[in-house]
Amino acid sequence: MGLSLVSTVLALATVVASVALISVKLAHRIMLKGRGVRSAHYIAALGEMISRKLLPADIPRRWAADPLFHDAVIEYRHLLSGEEREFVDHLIAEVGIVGVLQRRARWRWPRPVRLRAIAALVELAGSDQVPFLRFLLGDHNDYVRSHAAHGLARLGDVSSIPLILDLATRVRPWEAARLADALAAFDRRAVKPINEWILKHWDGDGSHVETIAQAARVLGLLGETSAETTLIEMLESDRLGWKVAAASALGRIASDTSRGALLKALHDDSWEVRARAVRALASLADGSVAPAIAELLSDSQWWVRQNAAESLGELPGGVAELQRALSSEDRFAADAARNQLAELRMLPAGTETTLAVGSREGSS
Amino acid sequence: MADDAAPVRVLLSRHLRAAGHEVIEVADGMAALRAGSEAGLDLAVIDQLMPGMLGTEIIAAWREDGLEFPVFVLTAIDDDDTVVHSFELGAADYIRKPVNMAELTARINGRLRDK
Amino acid sequence: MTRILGVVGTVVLCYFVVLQLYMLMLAAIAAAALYKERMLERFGRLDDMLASDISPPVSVIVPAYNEEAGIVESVRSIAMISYPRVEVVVVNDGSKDGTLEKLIGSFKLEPVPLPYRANLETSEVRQVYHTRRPVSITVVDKVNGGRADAINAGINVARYPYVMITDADVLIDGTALVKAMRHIVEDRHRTVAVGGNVRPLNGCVVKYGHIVEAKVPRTWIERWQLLEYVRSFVSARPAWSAMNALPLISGAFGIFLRQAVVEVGGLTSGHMGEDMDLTMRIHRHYRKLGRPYRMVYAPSAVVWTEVPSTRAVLRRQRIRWHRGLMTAVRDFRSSFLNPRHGSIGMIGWPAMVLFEYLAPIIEAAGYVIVPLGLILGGIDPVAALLLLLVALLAGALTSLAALLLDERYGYFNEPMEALKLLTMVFVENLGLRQQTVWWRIRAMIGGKSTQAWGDMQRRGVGNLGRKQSAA
Repeated sequence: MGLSLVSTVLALATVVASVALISVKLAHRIMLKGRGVRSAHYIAALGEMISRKLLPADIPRRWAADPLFHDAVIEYRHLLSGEEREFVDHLIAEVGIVGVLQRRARWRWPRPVRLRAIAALVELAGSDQVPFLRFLLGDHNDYVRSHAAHGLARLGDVSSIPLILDLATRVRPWEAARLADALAAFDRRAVKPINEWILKHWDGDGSHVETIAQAARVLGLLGETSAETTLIEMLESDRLGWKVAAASALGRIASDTSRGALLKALHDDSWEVRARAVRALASLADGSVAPAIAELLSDSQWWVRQNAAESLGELPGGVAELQRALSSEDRFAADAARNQLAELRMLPAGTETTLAVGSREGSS
Repeated sequence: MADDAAPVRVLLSRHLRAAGHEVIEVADGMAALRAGSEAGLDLAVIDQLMPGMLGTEIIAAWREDGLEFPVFVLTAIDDDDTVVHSFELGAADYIRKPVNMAELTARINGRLRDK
Repeated sequence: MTRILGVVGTVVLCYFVVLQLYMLMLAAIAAAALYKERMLERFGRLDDMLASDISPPVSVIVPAYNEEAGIVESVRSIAMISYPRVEVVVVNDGSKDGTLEKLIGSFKLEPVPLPYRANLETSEVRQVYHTRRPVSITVVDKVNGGRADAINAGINVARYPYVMITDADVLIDGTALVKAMRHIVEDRHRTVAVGGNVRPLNGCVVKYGHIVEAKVPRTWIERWQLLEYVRSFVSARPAWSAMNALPLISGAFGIFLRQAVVEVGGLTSGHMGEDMDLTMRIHRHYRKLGRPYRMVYAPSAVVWTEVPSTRAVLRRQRIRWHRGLMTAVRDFRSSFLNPRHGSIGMIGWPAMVLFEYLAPIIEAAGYVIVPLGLILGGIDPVAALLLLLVALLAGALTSLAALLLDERYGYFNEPMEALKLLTMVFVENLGLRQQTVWWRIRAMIGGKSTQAWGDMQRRGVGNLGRKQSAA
């Protein structure tokens, strides 16, 4: 008897699921159509307002509450610059979108609604929303936190930088990396607070080590020479993560001040530091470092040899070094040089190009 | 005028029509390609990132068919390689988003006057 | 005698009820996993990842054998994938057509003496070619050695820490790589592999290497495979992935930590199911080392592949798949119900053995024993009928659940298309299903006669998602 009950239930469930499938499909289609119509309507209306620079007095209240309207406004805001962007900002303020979003972001709305509101808020918020975004930095949801950090970066609120870095020390590594990416959206005014934060936590307990490396990466992305002193100190420290991050960052900043430290880093014990120091030196575009880089053609690690060869290909006078290395006794140096010259189409005629199979040491 | 983002199409074609040009709007790479081959364009404005095809791919296809009208490439990405590549393919201009619509319209007008 | 028949018959019927309940359970787990995934994707700022310099670089490995017709298109479309740093490594596996010449001509490749890291042994490499534009493209020209061998050669040449293994005839969605790599970025220390969602290309409208419109294919046999793929990739795999018990990462789209593949010795040459073999060996390797790891499935990383459209090709494919599975079952018997192998040993692999490997035997036995039992009177006809009904209905429900989960991708929204899929849910039990059971039985008893396909074997067996070279 149990079985017949089970089969009846299952039969009913199957019928229900079939009907559900068909109706979901139909609903999906109708909804998509409706959305398309609404969205096109908003975009046309906004286009009209923007090109005339005219804000009608009777924008319906429900527009301000419609996520599709928010999306349309965001799209226009991203697209435009100058006067037209100012007009969009004026429109945002007049229609009162931010108030709606803030309410949705705070209240216990279903998660998709709340997240969507927050994602729109960080794009549309004005500087009066800074306290609220800072409040969101403390949210329990990781996506909310990283959105908030991006919003603060967009508003250029420099005083939030230490807060974001503090947060980065408490979260998982990938989120810390994202928060650091958000910091890179600040402009040069961010260099000073980041620098100060690094120095403040330099001798702290171990919990800041990772974040300091991330902060160094951001300093590199911002590309300001005023950060160099700190980065050079990091390069000369005894922490691998710091050395690696600092070498890359110095390469991005590419100023002569760091040459000495980078040359020293060419002889670091870790191949990861050597590989990055080579690239960083190459970005200084100064031919005098070519001989020092050429020495690394016979490094024990594939990546270091590869980077050294690539760097020589870019440096003035580097090609001569590569050609010299062709006749090197070290087979690996000769291989690296030959490969690079072939890529540059500068291989002397008649040079053997068949494959040299061999591995000294696998690298990853 | 090809861009998958409706705002660009709406605004730019408004500006261009106001300047007295005839505008065909399309939203994806395939349609752009067809419009280019069939409509006898004087100038095209295409987005680099559209569903279906990259802007540079479209230019390459037009050039292969012997269509030599000037093409403006519009994009939000900051990628020097793409810029260089577009110019190699014979793009007339490369415009980064966000754009100043008035300026872009002026440039297009200038280009069409020169012809 | 009749008593035994009765017991066996009931066991067989119960087996199917359990199998379908297991599938339903997977669908339930998958529903939760897909919801979470969707959240992360909508609000996870994927664009930031595309712009970030910390997104790990990926080498895309494309083995190619006699692919002159499509290889250039294929490489071009991979080069256009949106991702910060990719290089393409094409391995020309001793093609007899103009694959190599086409590549050299189209991309202006130059021979280079690439310092070749021979971490894995392969058949002889003749020459390596390289160019930097439009992206870094390396072509390895080697003596024919089969798909696994070609991929190993590609791994040797790959420069980046992650390798993406795919095929020359697979159409990769432009956002697939970034969506798959998100899993690695978010848990870099543990994630060693990410698999993608393989969908049948049949019936879809394709232009310039992009899907313009996804449609339900024309013939029953293709439609049935579409349903199968949806069940496997939308409802089963997200669940396995959530339990870190993924027994298989498809050869059509899999991203691996290069180091992990090298550590397990690369792909096994000549294996009929080299992708399952690789996945299982990585599991075993990390379990043995006791290192924390995870292999995940990324449902939104979509790739498209042509599936067999004729009975003969499908038959060959299914026989090879099953033979690949047989080899794997033999090789990994130590993982079966091995608590030291964690979730893969206790859930993933036993389920594979029980519900994939043994299914055809038990099902075939059922077709013989149940009617016999009914005639001889060992089985109560009412109970048998009810059990059969329960199994069939639960099966239909599983398919429907999978199709409902597939809704979030928004394909096939025309009412007629939906109806076609819906009928397939019920029609598949009228012949198609029995046909594959027979093919798989043939694979088990067939011995040598089912093995001799010469050139066909080169492609190795796949899993759900390998295009047939018979087209």
